[in-house]
Amino acid sequence: MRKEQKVDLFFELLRVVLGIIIAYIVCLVIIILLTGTEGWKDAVYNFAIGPYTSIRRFAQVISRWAPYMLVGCGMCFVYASGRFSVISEGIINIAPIPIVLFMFMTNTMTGLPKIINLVIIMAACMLTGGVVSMIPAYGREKLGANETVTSIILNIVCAYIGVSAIRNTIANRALSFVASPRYPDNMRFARYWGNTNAHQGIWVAVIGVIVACIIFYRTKLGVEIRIYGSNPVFAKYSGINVRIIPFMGQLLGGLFAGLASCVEVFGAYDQYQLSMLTNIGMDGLLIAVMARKQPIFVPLTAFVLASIRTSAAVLNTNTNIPVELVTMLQAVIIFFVAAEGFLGRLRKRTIIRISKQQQAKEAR
Amino acid sequence: MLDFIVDFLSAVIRISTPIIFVAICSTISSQAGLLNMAGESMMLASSLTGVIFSALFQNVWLGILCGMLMSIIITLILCFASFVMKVDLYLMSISMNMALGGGVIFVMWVLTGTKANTAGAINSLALGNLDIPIIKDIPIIGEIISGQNLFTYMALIMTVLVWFLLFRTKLGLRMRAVGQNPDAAESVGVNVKVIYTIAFMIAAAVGSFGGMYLSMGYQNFFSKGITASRGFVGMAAATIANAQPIGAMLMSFIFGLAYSTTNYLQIYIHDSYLLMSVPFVLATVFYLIMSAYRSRSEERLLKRNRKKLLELNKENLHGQNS
Repeated sequence: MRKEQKVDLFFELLRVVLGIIIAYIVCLVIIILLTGTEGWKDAVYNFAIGPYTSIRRFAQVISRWAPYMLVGCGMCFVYASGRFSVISEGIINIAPIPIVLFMFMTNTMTGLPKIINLVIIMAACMLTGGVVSMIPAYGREKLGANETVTSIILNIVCAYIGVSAIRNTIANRALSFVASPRYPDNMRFARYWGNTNAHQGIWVAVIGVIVACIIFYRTKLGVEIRIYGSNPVFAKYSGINVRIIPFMGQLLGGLFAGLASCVEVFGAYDQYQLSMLTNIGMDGLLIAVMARKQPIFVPLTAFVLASIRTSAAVLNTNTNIPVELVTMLQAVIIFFVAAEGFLGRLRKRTIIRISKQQQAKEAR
Repeated sequence: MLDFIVDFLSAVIRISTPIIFVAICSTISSQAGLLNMAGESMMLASSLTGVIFSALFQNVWLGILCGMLMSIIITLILCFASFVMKVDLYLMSISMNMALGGGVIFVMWVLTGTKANTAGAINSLALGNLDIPIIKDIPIIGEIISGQNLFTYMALIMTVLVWFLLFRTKLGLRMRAVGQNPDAAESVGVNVKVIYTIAFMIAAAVGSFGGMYLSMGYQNFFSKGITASRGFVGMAAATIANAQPIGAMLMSFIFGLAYSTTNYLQIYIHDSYLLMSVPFVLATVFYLIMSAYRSRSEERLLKRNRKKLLELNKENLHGQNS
């Protein structure tokens, strides 16, 4: 690696780290201001290491981490192909619907062994996710409609249709909210550590990240998606099929989002009970932005976000400061991480200085 | 039956009002060449600020002014981030929407201690209804048009004002020039970033009324999720109408019709979730159809002109032969 590239990488990293640290500090300052002189120590303690004080809380971090990793990888593909579809958010809600209906309305799956059931569930979720992600993609590539607009509006539709489908068919009438009956044991990811929220889905997520990395860095498709995203005209003239590639990017995003929804719905919950948007898809966008579109960094950034979110939840239960505090700071993180202008001048100057030095060395 | 129709139509107008504001707001920015995804954050910020300051000053107009200023401040942050710090505008808008969705709830919690709504906790003011002198005496039309909220009439006036701004003033001309070709505009000495920022600020001022109508007219308190994604529906309306103010207003009425139809149908159809999704489905479908129509229109124009040219050539040939 040349020295200039190293400097470039260093500044990218610096921006991400600084963004997270600044957001964290802002968070702490707000907490201290809110809780006043007495309670602040407790509140800061809860926010800083709250998620690691008990096994149940740590399990909660793990349980958030799994879908975050998958959705983040999917978002990397979408984002790397130069598209901005946030349909993952809606996919989380709607992807499990067909298989949940199939599960409870027929008896096909009751007798099958668990591993086969899980494979069926994952495949079905991914399929639905892929199909749904094609709507904004088709709108963009064939009809010229902005994919961000369609995907944001469709997210709401997805959430409503999901609830409505459950409510009209298999809803468990004993509950006061809309939910399906409880999943049988052979049709869900088993929980770990004595019924905590950590579940087997984490392994699916790990495998998913590895697959995503292989596709992204080591296959023709991944390279084509990246080239198309950074320069569509160049991609066209270098012989890449520019009609298919953006579709593939968004399809991969949909598939991974479908898998994420499978992990979330069949792992963290005992029944299908999502009644509004979960915000996981939007968090996926944040994760992909923080990872600078590189799936290899997704596990790390996903863990950071999962940890912060859990911190906020712990804070909410212990000191009653609302979870929305963290939502608010998401914009701060995105601002610093995605801002090319932030530290831009320093970076340019450093690179120029280094190349001048090198030139001088070569001249000598 | 007549009563029902009158009721229904005035409900349509009532429900369309916030969508008109957002649609007009998106119209301005899309004439300047940028898609306004931040309509939702403009509405959210202004609706809570309006409520807080109208209670603080006990003056509706000061509250509205503060709401407007807040919306403009939010937009300035957005403009700073995307035009100076070079964050992707869509990314920043989306994250801004998310952040404000949580932020307003946080601020509401800090002020009132609840996360649901400000009713009872903040003694805010609201704009009342207005009876228009002559029109109110006309039997049916009077009942529909007159007696609406003051904000509704403001929306209609603002539509005309924005039309005037865009198509009859120097600033509007510059905005449209930048929107059609930023590079060409820059080459004749128009500062593109300044025009973008001004367009966004005007858009924010207009859009803020949409938010304040919800919390200070339609109902007189702020509640969680008050905008219910109307920002995006308004933006879809503006895009469908090809960023023409009057068209955007009419399109907003169509969406208002969809919203109020679903409201009225809730008595007969109990699947409320499916019903609630209808306006959004409509928005998507319309948006896709209009985008397809518009992206093909260039090709059609080319084809038509080619045909004309061919005919012209034929005529010329005929002329030479005879």
